[in-house]
Amino acid sequence: MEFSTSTILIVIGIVLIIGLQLGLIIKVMQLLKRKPKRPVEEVLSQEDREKLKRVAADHFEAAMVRELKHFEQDLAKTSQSLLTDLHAQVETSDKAISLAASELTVHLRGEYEVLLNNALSQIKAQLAIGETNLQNFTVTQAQALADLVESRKQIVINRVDTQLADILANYLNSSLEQLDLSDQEHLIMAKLEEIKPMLKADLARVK
Amino acid sequence: MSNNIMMPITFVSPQDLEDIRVYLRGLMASRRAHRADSLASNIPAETLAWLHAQLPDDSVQAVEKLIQQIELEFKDSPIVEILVAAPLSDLALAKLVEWLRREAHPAVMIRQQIDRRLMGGAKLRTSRSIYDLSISGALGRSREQLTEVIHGWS
Repeated sequence: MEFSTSTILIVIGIVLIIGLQLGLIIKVMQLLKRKPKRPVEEVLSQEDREKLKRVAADHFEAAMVRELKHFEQDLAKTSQSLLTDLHAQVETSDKAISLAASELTVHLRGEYEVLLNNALSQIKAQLAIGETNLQNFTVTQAQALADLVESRKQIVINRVDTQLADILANYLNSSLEQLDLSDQEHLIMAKLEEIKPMLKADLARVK
Repeated sequence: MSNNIMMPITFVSPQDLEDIRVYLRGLMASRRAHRADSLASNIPAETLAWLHAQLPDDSVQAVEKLIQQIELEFKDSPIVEILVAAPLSDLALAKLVEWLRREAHPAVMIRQQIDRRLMGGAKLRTSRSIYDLSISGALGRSREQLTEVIHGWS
């Protein structure tokens, strides 16, 4: 828990006032207890002294009661005043704290907005750099790929020019086994001979 | 039908069998009515001659018996579906049927279909298997080799 300077000063004031009051009471008590310079027996008789003592005691008691009442009233007033001041101080402090908090918030918001904007600017700059790098990389790679495709295409074109006819001829020869495509009947009969055992077994199982 | 009688080479397809059934039923009805009708039919002359050769006499019972014999003989005949790129000539079809009945099964029936994608040769389909004797099949089987060669270029 934290106290403002004004609160601490008020508390110290209260303590000082209470101290002063207590000091006053102690001083009165000391005066009353002080011994007279002449012997009391020379001035007053025993009876008068007793009477005076009683009167003094009564006066002292009345004075004490009166003073205590005043003291109590003063103390109440002082306390009330102090409490009022304290409340006022607290309200003032609250307002001051709220104001300070608002100002701090505004200040911090401004600062952080600046920081945030700076950070955003940096990120944007980095992103722009990255995007540029990526574009450069993409262009480079695309060019490299295009070059590669072009070189491979040239290789294939060269090979097609020189070898495709031979390869197709070999492919057709090996695939068709030099069959006479114009003679369907002989072609089919020749192929049937190849599958005769399988076909015979297959049809034999039907019945 | 006895096994020692060869089916005529023109008796080829399930449709031929159906035509024979229709013809014999008409013949039976005609004989029942004691008529000598000339029955119209798509049946080739050779098959007709073969049919009449199977009839011992002109009785209705003979025709009825022949119908029963044919039903019995052909009810389990294996059917070979033959796909060709272009229709076979009658001679080529006859040779094919003759070969199949001699080498594979005596009562086999043929159903010819056209599939121009075959390019040449034929594809045979039985109830159990498919035999690809076509040009497109041969080219397809060698296709991987060609692909490898072309890939080898790059």
